[in-house]
Amino acid sequence: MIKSVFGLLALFLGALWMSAATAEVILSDNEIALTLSHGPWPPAFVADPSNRVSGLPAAIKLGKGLFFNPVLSRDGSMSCSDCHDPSHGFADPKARSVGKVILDRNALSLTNVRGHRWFGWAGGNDNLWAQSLVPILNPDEMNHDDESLKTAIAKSTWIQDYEALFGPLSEQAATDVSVNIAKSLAAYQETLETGPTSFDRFRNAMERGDIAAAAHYPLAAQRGLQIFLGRGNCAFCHSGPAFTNREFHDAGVPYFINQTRVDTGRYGGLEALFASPFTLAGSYSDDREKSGAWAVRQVQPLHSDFGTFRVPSLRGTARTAPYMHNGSLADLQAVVDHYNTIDLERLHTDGEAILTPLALSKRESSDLLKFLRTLSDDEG
Amino acid sequence: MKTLATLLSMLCANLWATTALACQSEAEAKPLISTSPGEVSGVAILEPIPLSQPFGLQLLFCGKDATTIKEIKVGAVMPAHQHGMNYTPVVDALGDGRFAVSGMVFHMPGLWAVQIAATGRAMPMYFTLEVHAR
Repeated sequence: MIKSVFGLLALFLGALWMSAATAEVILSDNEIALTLSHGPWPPAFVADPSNRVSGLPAAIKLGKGLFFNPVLSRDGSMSCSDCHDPSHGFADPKARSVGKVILDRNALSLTNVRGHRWFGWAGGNDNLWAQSLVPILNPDEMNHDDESLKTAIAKSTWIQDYEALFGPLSEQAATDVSVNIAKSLAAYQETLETGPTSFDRFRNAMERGDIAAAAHYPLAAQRGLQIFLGRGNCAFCHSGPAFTNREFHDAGVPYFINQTRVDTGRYGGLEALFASPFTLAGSYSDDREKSGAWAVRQVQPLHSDFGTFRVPSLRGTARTAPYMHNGSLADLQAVVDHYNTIDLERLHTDGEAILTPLALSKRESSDLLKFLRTLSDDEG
Repeated sequence: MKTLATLLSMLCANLWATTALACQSEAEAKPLISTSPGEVSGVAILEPIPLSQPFGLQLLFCGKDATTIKEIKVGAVMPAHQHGMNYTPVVDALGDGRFAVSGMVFHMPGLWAVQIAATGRAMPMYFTLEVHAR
């Protein structure tokens, strides 16, 4: 009996020693410095100066109510949440979202949107409330116009909340009503934020110099992080605390929608932006200083914009399959495979020279995936 | 008459020396690399560069033709990636060969080459400045 207890104790101590021996931080000083640039997370809330109801509880309540209510579609058949599914990271599990027709793109996740500079895959808007109007007024999606939307709100159960926040509806121009509704939707979406993950605990432990705590981060994820920061070149575009540089790149995904139509990406996004009355430089912005308007004023249309799309954040990404602007990659494994064997013939000949086939081994691909999943384990 | 010319020449030399000295005395200034022949030199005084966020810099030109520079154009490229910035910076002339540049955005980490074209009375002059964004 005693012999068995000693045997078990020895086994237990052996296992403990093994685990201590394997728990370590394998990143170089330079890799640690780069890792620190991906935090802290989440960022502090700063109200959007272009939206006078940003951060107001009454606006968040109204925006949330409208987000889940079909009143925002002209025929009452769909709500925002039909494409931005809360159980799917507020993204669409369908490859190409469906409105009145099958649309051209996959509906992006709405989490962590308050830090963006550009909105939508093509950046057709420079603020969240303007972007929120797009599906409501698109004939292929919710199909309202300003007048029908005003009438729908007047008849809805949300009229009291609306008027408590924005004043008498009947005294407002229909376009102002649309913008007010969009601003309450934006106030709600600003609250959709992913939380700290095991990556953040690793990053924060290293910032504190607490190597013992940092060493709890799995070695496979650390190796994946090394690929992400180094040889994979992922951090060139997926930079900063939100893992996005907020700009537009050609990821080698075909932009033919069918045999006769192409998705022009950022090229068309800039055309929409310059035609929009709802930019941060315009009169619908509540920011007298026009503090965010520098981007729309100074953005430079480039020949290489054609077929480029916004770099999405990687936070919460494991919950939002499928991937890319057209939802053509079914899961994260497919994304890694795409970059592993990327077809350089599909990239702009006069575009940027960044992507090259990664040629990762099976284990390296697996490590990269393990790292990526640690950006989404905040709900685990 | 000769005395007047001498005095004028001394004054010009002194002015030139003063502006040259201004270039050298700027704290934290980085010298611009001139790719044009001439006697104008320049320095850049950089603000901190947050990745993918707008930042600004000041450019100061020195030398006998520095004050004749009326306009500058600024761009930047990543030589390794073959792309430039997505935004056009705004340039304000502050006088005495000094210019404020705002709205620069380095959206990727790595080496950027800032390219400056200065025009004034004579032929355009070109300068570059290498900056690492992290």
